Amino acid sequence: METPLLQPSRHNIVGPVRGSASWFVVNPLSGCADVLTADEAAEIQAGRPDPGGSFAARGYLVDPAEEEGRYRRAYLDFVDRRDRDEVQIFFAPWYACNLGCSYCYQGAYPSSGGLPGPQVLDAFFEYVDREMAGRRTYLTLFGGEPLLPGASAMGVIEGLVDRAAARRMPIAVVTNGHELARYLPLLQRADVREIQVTLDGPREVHDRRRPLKGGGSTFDAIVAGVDATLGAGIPVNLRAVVDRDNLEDLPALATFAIQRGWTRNPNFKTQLGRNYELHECHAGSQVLYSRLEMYEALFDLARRHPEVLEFHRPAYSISKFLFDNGRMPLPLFDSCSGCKTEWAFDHTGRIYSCTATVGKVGEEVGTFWPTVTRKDDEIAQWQDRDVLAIEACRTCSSRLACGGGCASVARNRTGSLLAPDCRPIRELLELGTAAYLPVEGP
Amino acid sequence: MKPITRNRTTTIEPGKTPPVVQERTVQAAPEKAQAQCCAKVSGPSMGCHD
Ligand code: SF4
Ligand code: SF4
Repeated sequence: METPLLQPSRHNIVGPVRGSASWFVVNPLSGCADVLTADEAAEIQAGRPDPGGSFAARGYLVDPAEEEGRYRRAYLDFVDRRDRDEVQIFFAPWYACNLGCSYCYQGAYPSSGGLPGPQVLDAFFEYVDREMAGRRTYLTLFGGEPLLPGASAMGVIEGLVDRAAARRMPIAVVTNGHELARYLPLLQRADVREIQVTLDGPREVHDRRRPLKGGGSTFDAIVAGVDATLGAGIPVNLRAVVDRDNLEDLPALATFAIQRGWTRNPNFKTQLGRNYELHECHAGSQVLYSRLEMYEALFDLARRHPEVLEFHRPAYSISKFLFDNGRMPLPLFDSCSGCKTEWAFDHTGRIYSCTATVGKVGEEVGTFWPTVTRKDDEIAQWQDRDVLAIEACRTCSSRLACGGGCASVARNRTGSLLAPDCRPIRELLELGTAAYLPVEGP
Repeated sequence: MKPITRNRTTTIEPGKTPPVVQERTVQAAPEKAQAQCCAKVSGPSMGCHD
């Protein structure tokens, strides 16, 4: 048999480690990642085998036909895993909120419409019981702000929590945290998987960005809610929404969290949300970072203030996963969960793809109340979207690390769901390898 | 070349699927490729945006 000519893999991502003479190669299909010299990087990119054959053994040089077969098998594995995956179901009982955040993307959403009655809640759970039968599901309370003050709001949340508990469906909550301590006993009637709370900085910074509607500090009440939640043994996912106005305040927030003992609690984790324009801009766009700009700024910040890393270790695409686990994540053929492993429902009886679209007029994909309807063509478009379906992604070497990005962002930009929302994967890896590569010993 | 991934480096014949790769495709790993996809895998969030 003739030996096939080896070529550079179409999934190699090669780049320099920021601030170092070293290079990296990662290959999300072969699952290998290596640190290289500049010469080795050039050889891989030119398709020249090394004498020991390790470029080929690691899947950086391939027989294209063999790689194509592997790509197809990996795709089938991916779809199979996703089909068995848990489904996250969001429910927005209203779009009202007790905070008046400077950058809220829901600012233009209608906040009235009345509270959902028991018949709406029953219809919602009946729909989920029927349509998601056989799938593992969990319910995430969303909004607006789901944990509003007042007995009538609490009554609705009680109705949702009790119905979830009766089905042994775990719950999670995305909340601003202001009323969290008050709601905690009620939430604990169900299995609470996680509560996401947002703090945008130390007290003064947070209160400026996330005040009560009409003004007033929220910081202390939120901190009390986080303490109470961690005290009850419930995981907290603390989120900070970041832009140019508060990035330099992250070290102070990190110090606060460290001194409070949060970062030593295994139930405490953090995420940074980039403030960005989802549907329209509510913040001044000059304060917003692009994705890469935010990671560049974090990289620089962590060099100056290493305590930030005790609070939050940035992902830099797949870098954090790679160095924490010593292996690559599985190939990501699709990064968007909308209408696949995620659905969102609201109090008006409408069904949406996900949290990006929930409540956005005209973007519903069906209704569960008063009658059940489905826009099957639209749902099929969401479900078909992956890096094989988006033309630009089909030949992109980053596709199995990027997954095609966010469908909602892509549609807002181009009018079509089947468009790319590109992630700067190679650039993020340049930063991430520099941030997490163990420093050489003597 | 220094490995970041701990997969063993094995020499293979050109044209054959590398053993490390076969190992990966047959094993359905328990956790998702979560490093950068919708961060909802780690709980509720709008994390797919970052
Ligand atoms: S459309 Fe965007 S927000 Fe919605 S599931 Fe997809 S990636 Fe996430
Ligand atoms: S969205 Fe852009 S970066 Fe991502 S896979 Fe598609 S073409 Fe590549």
